[in-house]
Amino acid sequence: MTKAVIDRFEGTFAILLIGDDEQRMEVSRQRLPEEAKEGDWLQVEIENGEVSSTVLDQEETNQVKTRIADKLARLRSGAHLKSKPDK
Amino acid sequence: MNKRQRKYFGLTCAQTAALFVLSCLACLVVTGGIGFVGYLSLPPVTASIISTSLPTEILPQSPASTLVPTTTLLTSPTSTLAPTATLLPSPTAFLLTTPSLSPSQPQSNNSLRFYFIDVGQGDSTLIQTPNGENILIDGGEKNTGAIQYLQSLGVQRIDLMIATHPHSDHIGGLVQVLNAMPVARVVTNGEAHTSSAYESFLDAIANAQADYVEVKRGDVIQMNGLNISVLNPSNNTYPDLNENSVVLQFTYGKTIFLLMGDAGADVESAFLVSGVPLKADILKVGHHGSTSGSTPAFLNAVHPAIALYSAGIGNSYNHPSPQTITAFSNIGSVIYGTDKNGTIILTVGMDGYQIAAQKDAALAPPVLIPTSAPASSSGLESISVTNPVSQGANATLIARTTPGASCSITVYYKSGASKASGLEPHTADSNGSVSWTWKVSNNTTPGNWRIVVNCNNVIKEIPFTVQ
Repeated sequence: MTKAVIDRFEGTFAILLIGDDEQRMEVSRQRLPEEAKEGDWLQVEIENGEVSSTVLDQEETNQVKTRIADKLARLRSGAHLKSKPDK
Repeated sequence: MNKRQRKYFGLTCAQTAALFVLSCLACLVVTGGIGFVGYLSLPPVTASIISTSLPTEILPQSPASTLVPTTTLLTSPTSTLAPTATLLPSPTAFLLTTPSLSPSQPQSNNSLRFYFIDVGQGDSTLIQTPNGENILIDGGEKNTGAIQYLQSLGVQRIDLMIATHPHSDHIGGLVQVLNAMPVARVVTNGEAHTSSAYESFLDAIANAQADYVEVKRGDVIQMNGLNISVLNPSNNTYPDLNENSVVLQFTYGKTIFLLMGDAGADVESAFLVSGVPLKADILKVGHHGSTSGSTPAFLNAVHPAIALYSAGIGNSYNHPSPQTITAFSNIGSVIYGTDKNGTIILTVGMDGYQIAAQKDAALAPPVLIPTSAPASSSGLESISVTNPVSQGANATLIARTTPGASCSITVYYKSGASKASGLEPHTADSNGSVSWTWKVSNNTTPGNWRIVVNCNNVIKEIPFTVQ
């Protein structure tokens, strides 16, 4: 099983980003759990270059959501600029 | 080449047109493709953002950015931006002095240039200002060539990076740009995603130590005289990430641009209800030309002379949709797409614009738009024509004039005035648009010929080339 996230839906397709290298894969929406939404993380099984099974990974979704919220808050506060060397 | 191009906008229509044709042909011959590499230089600049946010919410910071050796940076943490309730209120608020990046070459012309970069199924647009600032709107998917294209143009820094929304076909390639060159400021719609591509984007912004700003309807992004109005997102965001895309509207000289991101029918409808002026000369079509947008009422309001979309060849999503193409054809827009035309370059002067594409396509051959006439209430505002046109192919000329004007056309070849069918006199429609389509005979002598258009006795002549 590999981690994947639903980046978006385009018509009848879902576009998944798979693994740490964000490999893109189109899958039919029908292959995803019915309740799957954009931004949800999944555990996917890939066989012969095709996604053969998908399971929602709510825990991963929650973890990523929290981590991203922290990163976004840091950017919004400008904290990432504070380590800039003076020039 | 530069001298010649610099003069474009001070010349007559015929001169301008002739020079453009010659220049383009020369460029294509010399480079075997798009021939404008290195055309714009990159001088030192100061950009600023005027926001309509409440002055009381200005929170001055003093992070002396490495990109801003001397300027004091006043910035507003984006979470406190207070967008106004109505569309486009007069910008009265505060001034953000933005990073002025290290000096490079002096200014060499006064045109604004768009590169609608072919990144396959995705979106990426580079705008180079007359002062040499680089504005990058979206970057396509990861590893789809945006960074390589920028580097091939000699771009060494991005003064303003705008992510219209956080889908990977828009932000994926921005990560590589952030990793490869200085980026002064990143603007987003502030909407979070949970995707790996979005997290990589946030990490890259932090690592690049770029200024981070979120915009909303009513904000105006100012780049040395270029005032870019933000029309979307509004306070009321939609559940669909596409519909919260940053939508931008601005004017350079007499040319109005509207860039839709992936916004669709919901946003179009909100614009129409709000009464915001939507008429534009150049429309970056929403969501890759899909059926999610480009509704007839919206197209009628925008009525663009040129409609450009970005889409990948053979994509699985029916982008652009045939209905969208037909809808634009029906209102007389000339359509360009990165799937058919490759990278599309639009050069805008104070009086008009020129467009050149990497690849010809039957759908949208290179078109020349001569400079506009003075803003008078009558006469011919603009003329666009298929150019060059091949023997045996159809040519189309579209003129903008006053609604109901009586117009005639004469096409002069070596043998004299053409008697082709389709060149009969027409009356301009209620939008002041009139067009003719005719076949250039297989027997027509190739060369540089001319077309004379007469609307209510205002006469304009433009050159065109048969090949």
